[in-house]
Amino acid sequence: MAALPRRIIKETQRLMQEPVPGISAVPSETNARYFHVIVTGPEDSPFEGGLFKLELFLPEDYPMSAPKVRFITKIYHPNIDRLGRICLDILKDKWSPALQIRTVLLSIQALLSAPNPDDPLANDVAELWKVNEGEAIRNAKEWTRRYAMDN
Amino acid sequence: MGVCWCKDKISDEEPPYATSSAGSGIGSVGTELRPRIPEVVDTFIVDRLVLEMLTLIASFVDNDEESPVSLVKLHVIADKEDGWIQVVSSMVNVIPLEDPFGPSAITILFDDCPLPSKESVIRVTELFELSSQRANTGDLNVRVERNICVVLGCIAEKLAGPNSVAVLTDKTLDYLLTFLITRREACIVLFALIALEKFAHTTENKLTIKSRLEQEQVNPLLILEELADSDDYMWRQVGFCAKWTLDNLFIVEGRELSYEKVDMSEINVILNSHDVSEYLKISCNGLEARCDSYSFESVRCTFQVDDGCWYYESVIITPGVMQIGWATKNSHFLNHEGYGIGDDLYSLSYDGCRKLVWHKARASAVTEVAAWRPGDVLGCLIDFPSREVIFSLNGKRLQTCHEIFETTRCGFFAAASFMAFQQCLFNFGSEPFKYPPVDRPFSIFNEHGHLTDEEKKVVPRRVYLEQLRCSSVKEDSCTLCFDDTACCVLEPCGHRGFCSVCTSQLKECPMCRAGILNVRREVT
Repeated sequence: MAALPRRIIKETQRLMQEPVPGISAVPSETNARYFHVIVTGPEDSPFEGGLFKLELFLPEDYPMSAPKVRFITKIYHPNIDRLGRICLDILKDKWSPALQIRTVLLSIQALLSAPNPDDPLANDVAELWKVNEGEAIRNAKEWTRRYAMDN
Repeated sequence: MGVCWCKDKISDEEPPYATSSAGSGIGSVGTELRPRIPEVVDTFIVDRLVLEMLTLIASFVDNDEESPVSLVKLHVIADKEDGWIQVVSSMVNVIPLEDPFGPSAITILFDDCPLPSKESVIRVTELFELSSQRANTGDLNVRVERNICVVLGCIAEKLAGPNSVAVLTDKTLDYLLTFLITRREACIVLFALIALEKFAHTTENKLTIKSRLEQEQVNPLLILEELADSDDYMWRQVGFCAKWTLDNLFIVEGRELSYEKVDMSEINVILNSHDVSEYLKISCNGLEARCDSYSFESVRCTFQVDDGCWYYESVIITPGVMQIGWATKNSHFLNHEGYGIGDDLYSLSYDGCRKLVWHKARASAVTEVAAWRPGDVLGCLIDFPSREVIFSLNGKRLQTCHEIFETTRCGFFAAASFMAFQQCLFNFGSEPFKYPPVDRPFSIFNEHGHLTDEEKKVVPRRVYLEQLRCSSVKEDSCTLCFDDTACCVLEPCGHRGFCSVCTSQLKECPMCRAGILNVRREVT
């Protein structure tokens, strides 16, 4: 592979040594730019009790461009679409090379605590979230139970 | 390269099921498509869609085209749990053995569908009734078993952790291992091996598989790796993958790693294992490469040519999509976006599967030859004085290409990109050429290249990553890349801690997003 930047090595070491509470990010054994991520659903959110699997990939020009992250576990959330793609500004135009894998994952965890139906990616979910929040939250809980609580 | 439209075409703002009418003959896809798909779709219809998709992938070459309708429909069907199971069963049943796109098509579809719940995955594997008996049965349906192995590999790639462990039951493992031990049909053995490799991404599975392999009298992989030089191209792939897994995943105590024992004395130019996208597998002699990932993997060779006339050959091992040719260092390997050699200004390639010459991500069709077959030899010639690139297949010349010289005059490397499950063998001149050009004198890479003993080592990625992790970082290094010394101060905000290379790429301060009016260098 293209020589692995020290930045990635260093971030990986720190993720292993001081993991973020509620988040596990493990690099693939054969590809140091690909991480298997598991985020636990935040307390007091409809996602509580769920374990959400994500994939995170560091592109060639990381950290000049943002990591590519997507949910692999299905999730009912106005800012996450059916293919698991996430609508989050720091993954797009608000990316800064000073941000890191851990800050990105923390932001995603925060997005689970605070869905933002006014900036939707999954339109039908956002619509319901706006007109009937109670039902949307029930759906989110149901999806969490069905797809994110395996064992 | 026109096959990874799934990612290119579906922008974040436009989910596939919400795009406006993409009517193109077969039926229109609109926002209202979803309600029109009934809960249970006829098996016959799903089968037809899968076959349609195969044909479409073969003909889909324009990166700006919309996703094929049948693919969108399959996505919609697979979005429901039952539908997903139906699509998977259908792929297993109908995808023909001979179709060079078959296995890659399965990976593409899997990659673009939302992952179903663990229950559905387990239901699918139960549906297959996997067992060693099934793998041992007298009248093996080669097509179905091959496709099941491909599907298992895809599932393993997508599921890691406890779910992957749950799918790799004793019976699943028995089923896959039986193929490795009985060695009946090369194409099944190959995909059974790849599936095991993907299951082994989860450490618990890796240990289980490794101990099962060790329980055999002779580790079956040790027998299979002997086939790496076979002239039977299907078995050769099996040998290649067995060797790779022995070097990278299922380490056998006492077995020397391949790179430690390979004779490199006559080889002076190889594929550059430091100039390759992440998932490409390179043989221990640096001359053979293979991709088993769903991404579009690329590599350049170690030797640069700037003038004169040069020629190399590659033996096609698999008949699928590879784009082989020439690229400068300016050509980026955007493997996850589906861009490779021939997809920018700085590279030119031939894809003999679809018979297309690629440059600037545009394809021009070739009529002089048939689609390439395993064993065919692709010749790649670059002639700087006459500004020509000439591809040939088994000595038969294709149309001369000039266009690349309009923008790029020097700095070329032999280079290639690979779709999933494709493999080819390069000859940079360490062996006699099969079809050397006869109309002009040419130079041979291997006679001009030089590599140190260290550079000749194609170290397994596992070992290489381990070496890297042990390296340390200096105190005053750049806080962005940690590679160079931090020496720049951004003005007017005053944030520091960045090297000049990183600073040159910044538009605003990474810390406070203030605009950068000036960069001051600190003397240390």
